Amino acid sequence: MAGTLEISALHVATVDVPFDCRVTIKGAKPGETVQIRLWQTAGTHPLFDRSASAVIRADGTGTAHFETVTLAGPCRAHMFADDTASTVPLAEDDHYIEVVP
Amino acid sequence: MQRSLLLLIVSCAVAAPRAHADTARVVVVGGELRFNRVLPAGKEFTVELPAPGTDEIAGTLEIWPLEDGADDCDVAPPFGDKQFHKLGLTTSNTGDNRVLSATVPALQIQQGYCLRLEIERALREDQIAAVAEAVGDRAARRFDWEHRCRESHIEDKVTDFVEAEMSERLGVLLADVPALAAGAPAAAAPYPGDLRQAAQRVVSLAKVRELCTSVSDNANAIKQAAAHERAADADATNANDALRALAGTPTPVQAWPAAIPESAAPFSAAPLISHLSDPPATLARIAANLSSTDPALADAVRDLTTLSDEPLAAAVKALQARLKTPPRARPLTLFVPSHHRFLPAVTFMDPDVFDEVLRDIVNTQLLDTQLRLIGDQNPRDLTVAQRWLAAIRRVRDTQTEASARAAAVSKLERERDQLVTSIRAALVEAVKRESVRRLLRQSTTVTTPSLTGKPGSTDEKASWVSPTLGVAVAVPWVRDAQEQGFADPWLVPYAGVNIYFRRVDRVIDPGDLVGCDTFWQKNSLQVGLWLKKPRLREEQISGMWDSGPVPFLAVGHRFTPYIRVDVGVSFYEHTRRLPTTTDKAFGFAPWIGASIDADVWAAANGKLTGG
Repeated sequence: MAGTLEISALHVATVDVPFDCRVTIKGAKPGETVQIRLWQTAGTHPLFDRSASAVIRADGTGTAHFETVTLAGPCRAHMFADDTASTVPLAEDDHYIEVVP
Repeated sequence: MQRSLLLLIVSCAVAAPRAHADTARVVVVGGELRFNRVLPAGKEFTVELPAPGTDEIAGTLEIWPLEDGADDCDVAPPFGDKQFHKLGLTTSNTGDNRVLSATVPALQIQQGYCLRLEIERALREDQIAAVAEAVGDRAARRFDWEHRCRESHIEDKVTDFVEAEMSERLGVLLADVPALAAGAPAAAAPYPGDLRQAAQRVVSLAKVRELCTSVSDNANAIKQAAAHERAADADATNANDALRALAGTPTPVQAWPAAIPESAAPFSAAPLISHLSDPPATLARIAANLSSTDPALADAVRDLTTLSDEPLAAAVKALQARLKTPPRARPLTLFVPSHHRFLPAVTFMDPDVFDEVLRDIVNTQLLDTQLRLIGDQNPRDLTVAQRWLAAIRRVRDTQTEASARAAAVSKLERERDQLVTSIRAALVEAVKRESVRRLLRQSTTVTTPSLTGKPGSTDEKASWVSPTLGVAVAVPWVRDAQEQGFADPWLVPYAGVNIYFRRVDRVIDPGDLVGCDTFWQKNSLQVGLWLKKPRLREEQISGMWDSGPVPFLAVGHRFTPYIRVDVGVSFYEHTRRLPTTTDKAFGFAPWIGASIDADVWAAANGKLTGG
């Protein structure tokens, strides 16, 4: 069964003001180190794109931390999270952030 | 003469039909005010504006004269305060029959007028709800509470935000004024002063400051908890790596494997030597579990199930003696519940095994128990056991801690979302409060005429002729054989007809008249007769050619609606002092007088006082 990803971030962010974002992983292979990519598919350029690793705990959960995320704007940013390296396929997740001046 | 004068007065009275009813209804069509009739001049009348509905409504009506030839009422009244009226509108009737009305003072005849209607009405329930939802939605979706709540003067900033949204929303709502306009109104805007006050009250009622404090505290807590989560994850990773490293190091031990009496989870571990007297079924399960790590020992245990009585006792005694002696050294093996068998510890680093081992480490105490049993059997293996126990415990503890930290962060993030939801709900409720609703009014201003419209104009119902009655001081000029010059003055009553060259407004004070023809409203030609024939040289004078009354021709100026000053000249004949070819001589008398302009028509049509 595929695991899941869930993006936890603000719903409203200020242009160029950094904020933290977490991608929670569930149902992955314990003990594995997975690579999670968080990237922006819509909004004002430059679009955000970064990867982070997460070690999966015994219960199959893990967290990929993305610190000091900054978005250009104002716009409605569309964020996606997907795994680039994991044994168990992880279903991607998306999240909208309203970037205000 | 008197009969002629009476006929003149009556004829002047028959100048126009009687005035209409004193109500004019106005409607707004395509942003223009349209009256349903020509406005009555010279008398006050009521303006009615249909305003169906049950909401609070109030308004003012401004009316002022339009300059001749002008068609733009958006400029300031061209005549200043002259005939400028600002009236409050009162409501009468209810529901669909409700009207706003004002009583307009008498207006000048034949004059165009500008009107400006300003209506204020409270928002309906559904409109208030729409404004409230818009404010709440925008606050939730377009205000960065997490960062901005840390700023100074946050209440002022939120007030600006709320005011802007209210203004935008009211601008949309104000286009819907069904009672007053079939199309868009000429101008519509909310009252900026009240909007600011309304926004301030909303922010205060919603307790934005307190909510912002909670948001800031939550943001700080998330930051801290996330840092702890990262640290816990790092510890868990290190613990995992340490266990992998341990598993990669060969660790021979001289210890008998534990007895695992179950064939399914939950498994337990105990010293094998203490289970040798178990029932055959238990011994069979123990033997089955042992077969993967020590087949010979498994066979010995299985053999016990086939014996009884003395052979059994002897076999148990022999096996006990064997188990009291440490075996030869062999790689550490441990029973892994998820695999239902003993596995060499070096296989734990295998990626296909590690995840299940990890799960077992966290969720069961079985490996701990087995390692303790190994340490109990052989003190030389105690160090190995303790090292493994420490690594396993560290993995378990760090995993648990990392999961707890992650859960804590998730909980705080849920609280953050709930706080934003609370802010939204608080703002929505605040907008709906009565004290805010009273400040949220829509106002509509309609000015007419526009470039394409015609002004509201008054009727032409007035007379341009009127009878007059006055008293004059005349100075007769005498020209005779022995006498030429002015004689003693006469005081003479006179009656005549004023001939104006415009229809005369009797109601508006002459000083307040406007328009190009105000001169002709105040000044007129006058013809008439003296009502008395004064005496000159003891003889009554007479009209020209012995015609009887003395006629006159005069011009006059109205100082008040009905009082005039006239200047004229009369022509008469008088008896000569010394008759020659004729006993009559021609004379004239300039005079100045004051008269009453008796506008019988105005009196008959109720236009004497404008009421």
